[in-house]
Amino acid sequence: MSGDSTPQITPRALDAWVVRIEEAGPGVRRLILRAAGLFPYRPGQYLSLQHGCGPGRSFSMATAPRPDGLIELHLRRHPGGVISAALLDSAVAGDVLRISGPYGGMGWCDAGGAVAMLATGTGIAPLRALLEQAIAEGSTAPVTLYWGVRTREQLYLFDELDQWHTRYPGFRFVPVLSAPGAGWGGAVGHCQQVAAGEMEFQIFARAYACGNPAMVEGARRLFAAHGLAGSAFQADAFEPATGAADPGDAAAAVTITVDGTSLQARAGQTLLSAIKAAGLPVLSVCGGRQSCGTCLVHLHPDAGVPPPSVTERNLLACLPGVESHSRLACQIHLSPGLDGLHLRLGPESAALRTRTLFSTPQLQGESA
Amino acid sequence: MNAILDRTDLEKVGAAFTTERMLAVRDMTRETIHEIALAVKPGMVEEDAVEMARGMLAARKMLRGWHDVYVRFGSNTIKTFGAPSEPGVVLGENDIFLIDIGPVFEQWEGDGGDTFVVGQAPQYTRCAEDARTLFHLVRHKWLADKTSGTALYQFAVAEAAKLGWALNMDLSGHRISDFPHAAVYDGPMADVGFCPSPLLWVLEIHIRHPEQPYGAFFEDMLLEDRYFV
Repeated sequence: MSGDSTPQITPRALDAWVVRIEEAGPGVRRLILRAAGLFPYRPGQYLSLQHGCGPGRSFSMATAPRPDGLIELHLRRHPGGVISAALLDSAVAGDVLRISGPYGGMGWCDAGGAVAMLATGTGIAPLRALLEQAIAEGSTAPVTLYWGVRTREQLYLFDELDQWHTRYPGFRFVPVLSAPGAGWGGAVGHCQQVAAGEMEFQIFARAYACGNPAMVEGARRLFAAHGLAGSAFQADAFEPATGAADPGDAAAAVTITVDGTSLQARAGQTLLSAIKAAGLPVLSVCGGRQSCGTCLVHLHPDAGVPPPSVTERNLLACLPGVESHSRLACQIHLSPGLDGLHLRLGPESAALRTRTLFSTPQLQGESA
Repeated sequence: MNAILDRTDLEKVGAAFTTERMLAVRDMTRETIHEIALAVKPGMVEEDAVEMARGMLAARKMLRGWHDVYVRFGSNTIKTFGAPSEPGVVLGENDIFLIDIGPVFEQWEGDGGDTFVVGQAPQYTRCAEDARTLFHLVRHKWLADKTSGTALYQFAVAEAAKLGWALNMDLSGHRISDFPHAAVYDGPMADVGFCPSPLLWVLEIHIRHPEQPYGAFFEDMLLEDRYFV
């Protein structure tokens, strides 16, 4: 994906709760999350979502940052997609997920001239967020949005986007169906083909493409052929069920070594979930809420892990067995930059290896 | 399920367990709850109250907790354990709030909760008082009938309904011990088919109005009457 000159927001990892899950359209659900803390992002960016101890997967935020702090994601069921299937089948309001981000360099830029936006499927989500920002900034750049799906029913935001010209006078919505049924009077084919046809008489100064990698690559070639390259073309291509291929991708492999044992983890996981997934003895009494300190680990001084939050720092200050580079494993979000991380488990986890502590009590006083 | 939840296994304690220390931390926990409650004032934002509570726990060397610190205002009092509060709720002049803390002092766990009312709000006052009433009703049932954990919460559901409240069974009692009890048993007391021993379990009562968005919580150790003077 192409970047721009906007300052990056440092990614962070935190819990998020499912506020609600809504049917958006055939096979698509709208997932509304509330992060456990601040989660700033720019429209057009994406996050990594982790459900349980499984791998993370990337989803774009579908709105500009909302005043109520809620995060909206659009999920489409992918065959074999572990994350989306788990979320679509079993997640309910109140479930705790792990999110990290924001990632991605795509962002709205009104540098004059007309803008083309191309999306397939749920690739509409980040473009919708960009359009909200364009409206908020009072942009006047003409925008044509080409949204390609197979059937009319899959245009799950049709009613909304069909009215956006009332919010953004320069906005034009071009839905494109590749398998239209009877009665469809709109564009037919693939959205990059329809855009190419219109480029016979329309000049675009910038373009955004999100969704199916084949579409994104086709759009990239199309706009390059029309002299639109570099930062004027921005794209996010999400491979179904595998996540983006960006170096910051949540699905990237990370090797960590715990007490001399090497294990494979995925970016997007917490260090705690990676250790647990490997079957190593680690306690997490409070469930990753930086309250109990049982997942204490000792890192190598050069680990390069982002510094602890105030809450974590305060807890570390009152835990037994803390060393100068000790951290809570629940608060460390694995990223490709932490590949090769070495650590030792803290004293309480280590004690689990040989725990014979518990016995039946001899209670004083009367019994019930 | 009860056949596999053997009392001998589920009531084990660690090497640091002593009756005196467990009771001492119980007292510290209850004192801290009331200290926090006294400092909560109308106009406060819930998140600020939580941070204030953390500070008070830290001052008592009890910042470490086996669960998070909860101070919930108004409509957030119906939130179940672990659920995030709606952010930015401000305590009104006539309002209700609950506190739920699970501090660890040195090697011993505390756990307690209570509900408080500010201003004049009879419906909230009744709710808070009924949570305490139910706690003791259930506790007396335990004392008198040597009731199992499962039966205790069946009783609690019925008694709550008689008073016009819905009981939240997500909060249905659990073990407490020298830290961490979760290494022995981290399930609900409502799942155990034997009569829980004193000092080893906490009884939780979380009720809510059947339609309106408020509730109350009371939690303390399962102990005999002499500990509730």
